[in-house]
Amino acid sequence: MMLFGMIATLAFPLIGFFLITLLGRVLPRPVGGWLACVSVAGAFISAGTVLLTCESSATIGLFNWFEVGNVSAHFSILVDSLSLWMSVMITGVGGLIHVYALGYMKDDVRLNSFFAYFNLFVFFMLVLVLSDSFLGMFIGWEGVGLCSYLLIGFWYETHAYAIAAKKAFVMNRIGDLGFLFAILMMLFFWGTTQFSVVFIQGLGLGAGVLTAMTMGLLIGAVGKSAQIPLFTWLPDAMAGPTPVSALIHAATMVTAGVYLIARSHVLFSGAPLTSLMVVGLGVATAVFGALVALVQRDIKKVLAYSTMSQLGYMVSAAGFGAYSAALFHMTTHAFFKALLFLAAGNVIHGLHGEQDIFKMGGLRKKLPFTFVVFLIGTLAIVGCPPFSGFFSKDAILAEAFAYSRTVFVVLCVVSVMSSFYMFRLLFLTFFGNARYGEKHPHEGALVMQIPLAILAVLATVGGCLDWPQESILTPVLGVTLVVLALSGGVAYFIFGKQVDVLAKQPVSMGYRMLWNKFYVDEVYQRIIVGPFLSLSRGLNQYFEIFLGKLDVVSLRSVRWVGYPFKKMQDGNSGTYILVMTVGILCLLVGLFL
Amino acid sequence: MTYLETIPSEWYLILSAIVFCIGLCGVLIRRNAMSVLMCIEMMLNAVMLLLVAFSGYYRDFSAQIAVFFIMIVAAAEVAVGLVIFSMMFKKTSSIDLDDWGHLKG
Amino acid sequence: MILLGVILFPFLSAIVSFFLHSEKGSKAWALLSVFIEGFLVFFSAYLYSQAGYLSVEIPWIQTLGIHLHFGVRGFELWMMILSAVVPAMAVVSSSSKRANPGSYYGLLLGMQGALMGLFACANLFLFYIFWELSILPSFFLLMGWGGLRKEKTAVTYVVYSLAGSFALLAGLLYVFMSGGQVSVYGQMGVFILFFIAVAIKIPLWPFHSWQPDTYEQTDHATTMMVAGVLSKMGLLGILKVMLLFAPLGAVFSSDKVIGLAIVSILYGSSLALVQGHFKRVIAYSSLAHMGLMAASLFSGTSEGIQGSIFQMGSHALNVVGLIWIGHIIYERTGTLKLAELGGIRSRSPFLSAVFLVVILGSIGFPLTNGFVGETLMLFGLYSVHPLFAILAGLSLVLGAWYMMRLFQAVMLGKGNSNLPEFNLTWSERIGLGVIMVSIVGMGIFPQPFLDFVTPSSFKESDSSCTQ
Repeated sequence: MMLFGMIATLAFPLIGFFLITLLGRVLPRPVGGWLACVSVAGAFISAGTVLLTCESSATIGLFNWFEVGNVSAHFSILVDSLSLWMSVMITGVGGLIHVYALGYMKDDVRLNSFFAYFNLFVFFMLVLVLSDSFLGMFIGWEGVGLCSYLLIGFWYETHAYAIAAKKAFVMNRIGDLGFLFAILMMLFFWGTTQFSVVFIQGLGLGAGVLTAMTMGLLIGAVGKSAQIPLFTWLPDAMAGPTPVSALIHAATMVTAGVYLIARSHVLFSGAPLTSLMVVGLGVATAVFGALVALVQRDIKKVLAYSTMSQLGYMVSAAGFGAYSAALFHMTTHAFFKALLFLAAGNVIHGLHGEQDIFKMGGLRKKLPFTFVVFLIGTLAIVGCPPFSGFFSKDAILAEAFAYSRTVFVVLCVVSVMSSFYMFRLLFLTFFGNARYGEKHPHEGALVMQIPLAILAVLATVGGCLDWPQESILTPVLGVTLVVLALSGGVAYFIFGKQVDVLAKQPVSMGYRMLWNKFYVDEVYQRIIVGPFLSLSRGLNQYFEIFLGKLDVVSLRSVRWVGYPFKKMQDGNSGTYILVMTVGILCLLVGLFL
Repeated sequence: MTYLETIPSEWYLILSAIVFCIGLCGVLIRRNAMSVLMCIEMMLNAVMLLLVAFSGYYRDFSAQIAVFFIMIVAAAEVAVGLVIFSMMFKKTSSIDLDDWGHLKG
Repeated sequence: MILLGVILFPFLSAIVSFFLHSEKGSKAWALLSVFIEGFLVFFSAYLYSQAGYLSVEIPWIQTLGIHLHFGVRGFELWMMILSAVVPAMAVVSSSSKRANPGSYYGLLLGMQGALMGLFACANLFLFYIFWELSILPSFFLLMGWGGLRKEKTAVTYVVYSLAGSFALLAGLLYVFMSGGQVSVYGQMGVFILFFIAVAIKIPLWPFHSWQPDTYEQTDHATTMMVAGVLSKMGLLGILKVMLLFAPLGAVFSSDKVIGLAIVSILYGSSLALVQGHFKRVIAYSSLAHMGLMAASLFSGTSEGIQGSIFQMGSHALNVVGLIWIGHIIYERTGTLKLAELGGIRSRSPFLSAVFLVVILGSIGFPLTNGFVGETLMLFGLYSVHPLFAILAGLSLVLGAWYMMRLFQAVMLGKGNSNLPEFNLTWSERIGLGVIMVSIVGMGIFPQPFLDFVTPSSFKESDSSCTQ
């Protein structure tokens, strides 16, 4: 049962991908989309069945990948509560987003390839969470990166989108190199990357080696989960269609880094230095994302920076050992962030592609359904009590309180900021005067509303999934409510009224700093990319030319050496015979005298 | 003692050397293709003479068989050479080797 | 005896091909020939799997003790399969009009024969002969068919090659004189001489400057041969000659050689980033890949060496795929300058899919052939020193960068409005499909290919090599 269920979980999306790819030309467009939804639903049902029926964890061997010398790699599936829970979440949220995309993408000519990539993504994500070795995980790890590349650049005819896709791929590759380095270390020490071997033998290594190995894993996680310093691809990745942002860049792929750290927590617990770095990077990213999100104007960019900030939360939680809290927040975040992105997609869809929140406003009445679900999402992300975000965030905050007061305070400040920018987003979009001109906003089709409704329910009650054991709920509850009321009120007074908000934009130094995302992209361009490309161009223009000149010089010298001998070969046979005769005579004379 | 052996072998050597040198000088000096061909034949004949002489001297007749082969080859060579010359003469209306220098690659 | 057939057959059919003049007829003959040759090679692979070792020895020049001695071990057979497959791809992909097609295919087949002989030979004398013999047809192929600067390219190529051959000859003579028992200092010297020869052939930085022009200027089928098989000659030289006759030299200088190879990797990757021509990008990326393969051959670990040999096959497959795609684009659009290309994905989704898969293979994406090889090679380098693995691993990032840049420049974007239709012919579809499936197949089931090159298959030293 379990074997069958797990193989079906993996096989459904893969078969869906191949079917849609091979039959893409023949199938009428909506059929390909429905096929994709059905395959993900099949995967969801199989994973869910296994989750409900299976009590113990197990490893299912599939086949040997390669065995060379001391190195061996096997494909096998690890079935335990973590991997099962992840697969159910991926296929569940992923399935809802699939259905939503049916409506969102229905006019696109390349609908079928969109769904093919979507299914492939779900497959690789499942490989990532289900494999029982780091090498198997690496397959999924790179695979989701590829799908992310394909989907960010889905509208590849626009130059900027193609650039964004390339940037995401290459930045991810930097992280992947770190991951690969950790894998090489594991292969070097144990000849395998199976979790069962690595986690048992891992602590036998010295702290230095373990630190290096976990650093590699951390770099991988930083790349995939868009942490400082490898985060710049995530905001640009919003170039993809909105369902892509919801599925890949909010709910599933970007949380893979958190999953990686949580999965290998045995190794991290043996490397305190790395754990410290994890906390540091996570907190820094949380602060950075929240700060930048305060002033952004693009509805998807605000959500992207908010994702970054929430990921920072999770990563830092994983860093100070709150693995279950981190995974809990990952789950609720998948619900409400997917909900927010899809609702934002509704808004964009309704406004025919408008993404600037200063050109929205007053949509509360035009898009009532969207407003309600967006409100639920907002309340969930800011941590308003009955909603799911409250429980998961407080689980992290409670652990942070136990770990270090400083971290706790910083994370609380981030929480305040996040509620401010979310309310700002809510008010600018749905309240105030309508600033979208002549457009006629309209709600999406039913296939777009049903997934939103389900996600809204999940975002509301998702907190019941896990109740933190050691709770500081009582004091936090009060504080949270006060903070929420304050920040919401401030946001309402600034952005919620019938004012021309464009005129009220402060143009201070700090604002410009935030608006330009602390100039990180520019700094990377100036300090790393630019000089590197200049160096390459310089080498290409000067050193290669120099080598070419060297070639020419050597060619010439060969010619000079050969020149006198060329004169001798004048082609006159008489000369040849004369020379030959003289030569023979010389020989004879030399021989006999 | 055969008739051949009454003549000392040095004489054959000297005669052969003289004929060979005449042929060699001819090849080096003459520019007329026909003469050059004839001179080559002379060099060949000198060598053949030597072969026959020593075959008699050592009573080993395999050398005489070799001479027959050389004669056949020489005849073939003359035939081919003359044909080439006549073709070249038709083309260039000259039989001078220096005029045929453009044949070189 | 089948080895003799494998080696002689291409030469014989090359001679026939020189007498053919029509485009269709000569291509048909070349196709027939490469397929028969492929059959012969695969049949000998079958025989090898039955017997474990194939060899044939015929006395040749008795007085000098020179024999016609051929014998293959696993990795040599692997290279022979390579040099059966790559020319087949080269012939199948040829569809444009060429001057003197009969001579072209004849030279191509002659090159195939020389490579077969080189890979199968079992003594140094034959090794040198076939090494030289392979230069001859490649020179004429470069000289006769290609771009505007083809003559200069050909001369540069041949001067480089002959310089390498000279070093090789000097080394071989030294080995020959000392009867196979080379002293320690002698081994150092011989190592340096051999290294010059293989570094030019592979090529490694800074001996590479013949390569970009050669790639850019030559006819695509010639480029396939040069990139796919000729470059592997150098790596084979390392395995077959250098490590066998100058093992102490390898022990003493492996660090330096690995260092130089890593410079090649980083230099090639960086320069591939700023090239403006499709084939030049491939040339510099080849420089990087070949550097990695050479470096891991010197890692001294069986994983590294096996990974490198596996990668020789997958690199050949990938680079042939890239050049073929470039040729298809060139035939349709008449240019390979990146600035003038773009938007082809919307014209031919199939071509773009194949291109993406080939790129993934070449940047070492998991489940493609590149990943297995690169992981094993990096593992080998890690065993030498972790820093080597990190530096060489940077090529994964840079590789993704320049390859995605290439993909974007060629396939994505709007492109010219007067971009022609890309109606692929059936031979192109099938050939590219085969490449795509093999790339993924070798990535998922690499074990049979890796078993071809188990350590035991090349560690048994062949005493007759010294003759």
